[in-house]
Amino acid sequence: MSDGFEERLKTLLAAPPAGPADGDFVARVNRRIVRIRRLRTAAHALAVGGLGALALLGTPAAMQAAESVNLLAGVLIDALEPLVVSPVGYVLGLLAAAAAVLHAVTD
Amino acid sequence: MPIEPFERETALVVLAMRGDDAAFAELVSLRQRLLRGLLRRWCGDAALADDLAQEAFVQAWRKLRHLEAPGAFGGWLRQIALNVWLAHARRRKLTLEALADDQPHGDGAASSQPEAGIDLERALDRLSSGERLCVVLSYAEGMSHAEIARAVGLPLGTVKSHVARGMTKLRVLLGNA
Repeated sequence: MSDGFEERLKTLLAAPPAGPADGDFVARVNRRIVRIRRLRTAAHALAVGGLGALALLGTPAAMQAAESVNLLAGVLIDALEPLVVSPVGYVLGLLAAAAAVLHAVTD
Repeated sequence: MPIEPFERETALVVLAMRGDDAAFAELVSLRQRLLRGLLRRWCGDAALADDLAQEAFVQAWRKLRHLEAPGAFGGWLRQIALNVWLAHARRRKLTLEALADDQPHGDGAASSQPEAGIDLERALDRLSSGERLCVVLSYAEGMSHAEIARAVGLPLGTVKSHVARGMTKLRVLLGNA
C-alpha cells in the first residue's frame, strides 16, 4: 500500500534531473555517427562490388551452362533423327504402337 | 514570431529523419542535459551514465526513421535510454545480485546516517547498485516487481528485497523514518 513517503519519493523522482551539457559530448556522439555512416558506405560499396563481380563472372558461366544444355539436346536430336526419318524408324514406331495397343487390350 | 522550443525540436526531428546530421547534432545538444541527468540518477555513475547516454543517442539516430510521431521524440528517446540501461543491467546481473550487501559508490558512500536536508540524488548515491536500480524502476518508472525481475533478469525475491531495503534506507536518509 502506498504511504506518504512513497508519494513524496515519486514526486521527487518525477522532477527532471539536470545533467551536464557540453560540446564534447555532442562531438563524441557525432564521431560515432560518422563512423557508422562510413562503415555503412563501405558495406554498401562492398555489396554492390560483390554483386557486380558475381554478375561479371556469373554471366559467362550461366551462358556456358545454357550452351551445354543446348549441346546435349542437339546430340540427342542428332541421335534420334536417323530413326525418325528412316524406314527403320517407322517400323520401330509401328511396332512400339502395336505393342502398346496389345498391352492395353490384354490388360 | 519566436518558435516555441517544442516546435523547434519537432522541426529538428523532421530534418534529422530526412538524414540531416546537423539537425540531429542539435537534438543531442538540446536533450543531453536531461538524458545524462536521468541516466546519472538511474545508474549513479557519471562516467557510465555518459557512455549509456551516448549509446542511447546513437541508437536513436539508427532508429529515427521508425519514429512515427516527431512530436513524441522526447518520450521515445527516454524509452531508448531506459532500454539501454536495462540491457546494461542485464549484462551486470551477477554483479547486481552479488551487490545485495555491497557498498554504495556515490559521494556519500562512507555514511548511512540520516542527514537533515539531504537531497534525492545524494540519498540515492548511498544505496547499493541493486537497491538503486530496483527502487528507481519501481518508483520513477512505475514498473511492478515482476516487470523489474523480467527486465533486469533478477529473481523476483531479490527485486523485492532490493526495493524493501532501498526504501528503508531512503526513509532514514530523507528524514521519514
